[in-house]
Amino acid sequence: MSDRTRPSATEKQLVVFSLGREEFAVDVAQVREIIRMEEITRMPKSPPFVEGIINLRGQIIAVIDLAKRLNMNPSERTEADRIVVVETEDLKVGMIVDSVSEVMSVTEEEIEPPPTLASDAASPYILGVVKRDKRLIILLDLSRLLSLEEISEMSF
Amino acid sequence: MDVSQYKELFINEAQEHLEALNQALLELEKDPGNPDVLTEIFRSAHTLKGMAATMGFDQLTELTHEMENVLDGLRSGDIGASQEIVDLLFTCFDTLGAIVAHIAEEESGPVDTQALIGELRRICEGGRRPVPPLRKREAREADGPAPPSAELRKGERRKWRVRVHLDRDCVLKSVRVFMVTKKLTALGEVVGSAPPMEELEEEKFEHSFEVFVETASEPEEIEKSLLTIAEVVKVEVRALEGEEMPAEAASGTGGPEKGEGMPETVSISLAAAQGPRPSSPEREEAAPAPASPVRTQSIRVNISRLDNLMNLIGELVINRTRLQEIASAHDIPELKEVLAQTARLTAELQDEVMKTRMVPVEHIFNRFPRMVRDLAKSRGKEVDFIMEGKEIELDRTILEEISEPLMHLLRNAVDHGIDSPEEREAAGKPRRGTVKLVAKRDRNYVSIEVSDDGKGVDFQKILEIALEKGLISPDERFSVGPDDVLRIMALPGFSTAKEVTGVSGRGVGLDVVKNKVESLGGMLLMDSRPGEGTTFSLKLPLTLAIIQALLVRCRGQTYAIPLSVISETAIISTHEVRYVSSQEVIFLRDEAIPMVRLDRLLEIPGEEAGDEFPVVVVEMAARRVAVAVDELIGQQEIVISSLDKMLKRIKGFGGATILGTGEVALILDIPSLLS
Amino acid sequence: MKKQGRPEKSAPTVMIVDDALFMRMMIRDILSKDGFEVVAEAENGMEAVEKYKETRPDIVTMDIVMPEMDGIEAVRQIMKIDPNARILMCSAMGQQPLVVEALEAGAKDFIVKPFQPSKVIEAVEKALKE
Repeated sequence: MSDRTRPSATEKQLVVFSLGREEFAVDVAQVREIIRMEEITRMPKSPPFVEGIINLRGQIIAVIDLAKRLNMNPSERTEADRIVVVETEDLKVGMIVDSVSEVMSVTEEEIEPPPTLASDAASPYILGVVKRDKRLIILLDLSRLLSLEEISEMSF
Repeated sequence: MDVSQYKELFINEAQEHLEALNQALLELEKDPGNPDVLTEIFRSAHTLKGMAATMGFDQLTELTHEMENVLDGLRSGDIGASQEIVDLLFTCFDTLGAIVAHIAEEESGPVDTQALIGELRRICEGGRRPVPPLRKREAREADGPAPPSAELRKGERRKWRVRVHLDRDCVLKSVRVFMVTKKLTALGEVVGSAPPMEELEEEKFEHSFEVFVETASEPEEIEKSLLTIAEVVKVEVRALEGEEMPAEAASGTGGPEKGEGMPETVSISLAAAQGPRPSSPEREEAAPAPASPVRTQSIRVNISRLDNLMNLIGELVINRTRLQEIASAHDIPELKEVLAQTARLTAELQDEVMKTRMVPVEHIFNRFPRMVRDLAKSRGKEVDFIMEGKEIELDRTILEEISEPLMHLLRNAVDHGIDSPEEREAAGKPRRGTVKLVAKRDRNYVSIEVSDDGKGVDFQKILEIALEKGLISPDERFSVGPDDVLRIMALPGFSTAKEVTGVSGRGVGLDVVKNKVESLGGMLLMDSRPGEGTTFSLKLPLTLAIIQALLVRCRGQTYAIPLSVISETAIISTHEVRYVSSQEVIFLRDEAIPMVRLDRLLEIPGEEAGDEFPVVVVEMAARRVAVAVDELIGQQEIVISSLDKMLKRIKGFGGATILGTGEVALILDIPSLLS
Repeated sequence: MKKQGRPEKSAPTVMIVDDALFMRMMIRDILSKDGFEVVAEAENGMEAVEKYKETRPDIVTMDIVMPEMDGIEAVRQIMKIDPNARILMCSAMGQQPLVVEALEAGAKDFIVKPFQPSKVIEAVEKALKE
């Protein structure tokens, strides 16, 4: 890794990935690993965004379709699809994303509050946005996105 | 007599003796003349022989018999120990193993032992005479009480001709002769025999022989005395006149005072073999010589009993959980209190049963020194093999399952890990490499490490190959750490090509190893440093939540149904399905059983099953329900992994399990699916 | 198998000594079917001597080749404790010298593997009569 990405006190490292035409990011501290798509065992009777379960080194974890979770239109599966395994206080979960592009270093100042006009379904789960080189990267609030309360409100 | 009922026991015990034999042979290789080790080997072979003969496994009997001859020669020093002989004994061991395996699998074709037996005989004849023939005693009076002197006897001494008939299938006839002579000597003086004593000793007679005795005892007394000997079926005593005494008898033997005619006793206290002890340059450094195991008070229990016990406890736990639900639903404090006690008791019970399933890893570790030795030899590598922590215990199911994976890892360590002696010298390392197999107990798991001090894994090379094969994409490189390297190496496509294994490759079978370890609820980790070596560690749970389950397929996916709830399975044709108030019903032996289709139960959309489909009849509290599936796969022991908090909220699943293929299968909780 | 001449008192007691469980099972089955009471089993000579002291069986079946202490030494030790002990050696083919040594040490008789139930019974009955 280059010097540029070394974190400092005010810096955060983000794993950036794309979903449809949008770019999202999560804090690298919450990412356990990034794996390729693999055979996913369907979990019957589960909410639509739960794709199923996989065997992650002997541990069984749920995999969710992030696009569906954010009420976005799911995109076609491609070779570039990845499962980003994240861990919050509650859960360890794999999230299917379209592709992982980079690990980005940002300063706290670069993270702006979410635009209030954002009306799409993702808005409750947005921690902030990062603007860089004409890109708009949405930083997700995983704790909320994956909180059990949030999930159980959905179609169980 | 029918011995088939003893077969299972025979096989188990034969395998134990083979294991002991293997250990002893490894010891022998290090110290070819060691009398203790030779005794050990002899004993194992001997016990096997006796067991095999009893079961009527002639091949096994014959081979162990020939082995005994050679071992006997080694012990007496008539045969000098050599690498050739040690190797031959190893081959015997392999062949014995093969025969026992044959017996276990009930395969009929014989294992070829003739060449091996020929070899053994050649060695025997070269070094010594075979089966110890009865040799003349030199000083019989040396031990044992002196026979009562005939002169002291009262009454008139007369000569008798005593004909002794032995049982037709008597073996060891010469010993019978000895016993007869001994008895007669106690009564008087043995003055001759027909045929002569020498021939009697060599068993050159059919089923009867005559001994001439001078005694004051009455014929009835003689007869009675001899009939107390087993296999003596008839005794005839006739007066013998002096002139009648056959010539050969006189020449044959004298009285017992002269000490002739008695078989010699051979001391079984063993002297060290006197033969040359070649010090093998390729010695193997195994664990320190095993002391004879301490025997503790124990009984043998068939493993299926323990499995049953485990299953019963599993059901008990499930029922307890149900009771707890009822207790909280109805808020009955007394019930809750009793249930808290029950919970503690079941937990303890479970713990105790788990413990009975624990066995030391030694059981499988002992197989490895031999394998490492053979492999290193064949690859021209010099390897010290060190094992530690053999006493660490693991659930025996886990233990049996990891034997194969460990074998893989050890093979890889020798084959690909350890560098050649030349490479090692060039790198400034000792010529001899070290492979270690270490078991350690941590708080909640046992770790088993296979390490080598070889060249280490070339991460860069692995990445290149993976990229080349399209197993990873360039953008993945940033997240690649040592764990990922292992993951990549364990990808099914990684090491199919031979040249890959040749160059860098430790991928051989790693996917298999990883899947197996994970299906046991464990983890496979790897740590490797270039030039310093590689360590694989298996982190394994101490015990398992294991259940017997029936695996079924439904809509392309595998599910597990705990065997404890299943009463039977059947194949049903569509036209056999009846409707009772719009509920599908099938008839099994005139019993109407409501039928549900698993795909509908699981809310999986799609087309109906074909004309014929299997049903699994599930036993519920008050009724039976037939669950229609697409296919029955079979019964299997599975390890339960619990589902996380998010998935637990979905009703109808008792957890999930990782199958041997790496595939994840959900465990169905049919009653709750139906409720 | 006909039981001939055994007095109608309590069943004769037996101790079985063999390092192979398999063998012990076999002999136990043979003898208990014929009305003997197996009161002890031992898997080596040392154990046999100890258990002999405790149980004083009417008869002992003794394997020859065993770990810790072999059958012959066990015979010697048991005979020291009880000169009237009735011990039957369990021998294999090709063990003539060892059997003879055991007989000299005081063993009453021997049986040869593979065991035929009738022979085992015969040897035991005969040894008891003596």
